[in-house]
Amino acid sequence: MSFRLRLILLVTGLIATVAVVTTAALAWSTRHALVAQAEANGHLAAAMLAGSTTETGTDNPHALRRATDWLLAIPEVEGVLVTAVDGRALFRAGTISEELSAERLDAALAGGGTLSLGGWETPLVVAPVTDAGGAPAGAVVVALAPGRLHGVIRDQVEVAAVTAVIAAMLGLVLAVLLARFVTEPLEHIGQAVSAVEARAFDPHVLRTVVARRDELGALARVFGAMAQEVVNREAEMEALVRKRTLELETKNRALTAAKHQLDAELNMAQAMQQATLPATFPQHEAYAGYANMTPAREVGGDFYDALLLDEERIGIAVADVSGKGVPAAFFMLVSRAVLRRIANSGQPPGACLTEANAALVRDNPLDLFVSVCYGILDARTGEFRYAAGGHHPPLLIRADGDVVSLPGTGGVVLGVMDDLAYEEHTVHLRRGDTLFLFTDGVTEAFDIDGEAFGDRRLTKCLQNTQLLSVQAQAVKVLDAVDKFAAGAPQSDDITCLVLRYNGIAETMEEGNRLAMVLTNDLSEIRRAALVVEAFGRRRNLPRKVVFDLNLSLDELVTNTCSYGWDDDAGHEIRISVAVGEDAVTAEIVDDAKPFNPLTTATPDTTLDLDDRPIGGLGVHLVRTLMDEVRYDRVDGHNHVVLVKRLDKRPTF
Amino acid sequence: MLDIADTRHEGILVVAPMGRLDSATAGVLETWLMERIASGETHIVLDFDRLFYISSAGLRVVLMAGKRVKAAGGRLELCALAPPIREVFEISGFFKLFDVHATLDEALAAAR
Repeated sequence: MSFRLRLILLVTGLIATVAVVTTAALAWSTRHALVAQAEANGHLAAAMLAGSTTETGTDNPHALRRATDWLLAIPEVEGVLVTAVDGRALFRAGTISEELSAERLDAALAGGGTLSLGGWETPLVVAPVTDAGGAPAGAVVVALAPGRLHGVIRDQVEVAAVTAVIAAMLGLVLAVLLARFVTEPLEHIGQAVSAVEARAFDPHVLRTVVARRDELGALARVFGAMAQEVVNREAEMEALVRKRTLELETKNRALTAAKHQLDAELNMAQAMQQATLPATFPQHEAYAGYANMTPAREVGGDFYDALLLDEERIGIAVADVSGKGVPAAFFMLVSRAVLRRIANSGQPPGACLTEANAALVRDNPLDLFVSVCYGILDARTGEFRYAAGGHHPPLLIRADGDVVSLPGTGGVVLGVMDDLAYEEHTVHLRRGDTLFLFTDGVTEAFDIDGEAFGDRRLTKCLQNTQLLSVQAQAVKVLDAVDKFAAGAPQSDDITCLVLRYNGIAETMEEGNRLAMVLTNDLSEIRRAALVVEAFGRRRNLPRKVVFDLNLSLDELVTNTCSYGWDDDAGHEIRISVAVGEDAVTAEIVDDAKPFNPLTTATPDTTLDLDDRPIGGLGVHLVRTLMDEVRYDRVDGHNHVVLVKRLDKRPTF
Repeated sequence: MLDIADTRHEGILVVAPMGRLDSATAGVLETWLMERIASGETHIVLDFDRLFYISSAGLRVVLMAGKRVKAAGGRLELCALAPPIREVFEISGFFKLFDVHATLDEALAAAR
């Protein structure tokens, strides 16, 4: 409800209240006046009767009649009753039914004056009559006509009411005008408030109000000042916000540019770091190698290395520096340099790690550490010596496809504790064996569920991969890890190094002579057979000759491989085949235990199935198939010579 | 390392090793045959049609199989030996130990 409306209602209410009160007062006073007038008439009548009354009051009937007639002539009077002192009715005139008891009369008279009785409905006036001596002689009771009384009052009230309504309406009009006059400045202020709220403040709105000298004027002036202040502040604020937003955008652009530059630098660092790793493996006929390092972040802490120590020995290493990012990358370069320098001295792996550890402990301001697996393969013998410091030993994929984990050497990570000695272990590789070195980025690659790739999966992945190229083997593992971890972020650098040992396959052909060197592995026999067959084809040797020769070589080499040595080491068996004018001569030379095929007992081929022993057939075949067999032991070596004559008539 | 093809003909197991039966591969055939014989195969034909080479190691396996089958009261027949294989069998006296047939059908007939 607006202030103005309230004001109007208030004023109207006030005026209406005044009118109503006035009307009520008027009604009441009119009644009072009428009753007073009746009392006065009563007194008058009483006075008229005063001197003429005796005890009964009928002594002077004329006076009585005169008084009562006069009273009755008054329009308001309805009836008259004259009573004695004790209340007995002496005379009635008009309409009056009231009986007065003595007590009431006494009370009225004791009052000495007129007493109005009967209430509103039947107003009575009692006036005492005194005799000549002044003693109470009776009373005159005047009954007023209520209808008439009421009529007078009603008329009065009607007039008053009409006046009140007119007054109220006038009051309303006045109130409206007054209210407008009073509230106009307030409304101006109200408009100004709304304007401020709507941010459209115009001091012009208040111009009339501020000129006033009263409290509203002061309010308006102060409000106007405040509103102006607010508007100014807001304008300032907006300007400030715009400025700051602009600054922020500029800074943002600068930040983005800086980040791009940082990314570019890190990418370059990664490229440089990758460039420091050997890109290609040293080439050698006895082995083939492949290595790969995939970093987790732009620069990694893993590295691999392959160094040619001399013509026959190659050193291979994989390593994992603690941590990731730039500090790890620096330490990686340092440890790689240290390891390389020490390895190039040609010391065995254990000694190398011992020395490398000492060097890294000395120069390690960031207290980083590195786990290393370092090994040296001797291509001539297939001997592989290795040592590891806090690192998984290599896996060996045998030539038959089985995968085994080489024994650990129990070393601690490098760079942490001074004065540590590193143990080493040696295995003998056969032709077709493959070494797989790796960092724990492979086995500890996690998938989305937090499960690790693990040793078992790695082993399974490498099983029966002996015929794949070394690169294919590495890629198979890397792909498997990739697929396993699909989706999960790469948590660590992934590095692997694969080295396949092919053995020294010296096969030399010169004119009519073939020379080859086998290692003491049964799978070599097939290779030798192929070589001899190819050689025989080129020399146009009869197929039977080649077959018999191969079978003989097979039997003898099998015996040598199976029984010739007690160790697990790789040994050489040298075979030469020479085609002569009328015979082919083959020679087998090895350093196995002395074994003369000529002295082996000939099996009894007449025995029946139950009695035939399982062994002994091989040498028998050789002696039967070959035309000549000769044996000699020279310088700790067995020399067996086989001669097969070249018949001009082929048997098949 | 050694491929072994096997089929059944009316309860007779026909075994056909392929390629070379030498010291490197004989073990595979040995294991294979011994398993089958141990699980009850007693009528076996060794079909050497696809075999082009056999050394004493291979002969040993044939001998072992023959002994086992005989002990179990069965029959072991051989067939389709190539000439080089025949020569080896000849030298070793294996023709006295085993019935060697020219064709598979003959071997099957004999193995029943």
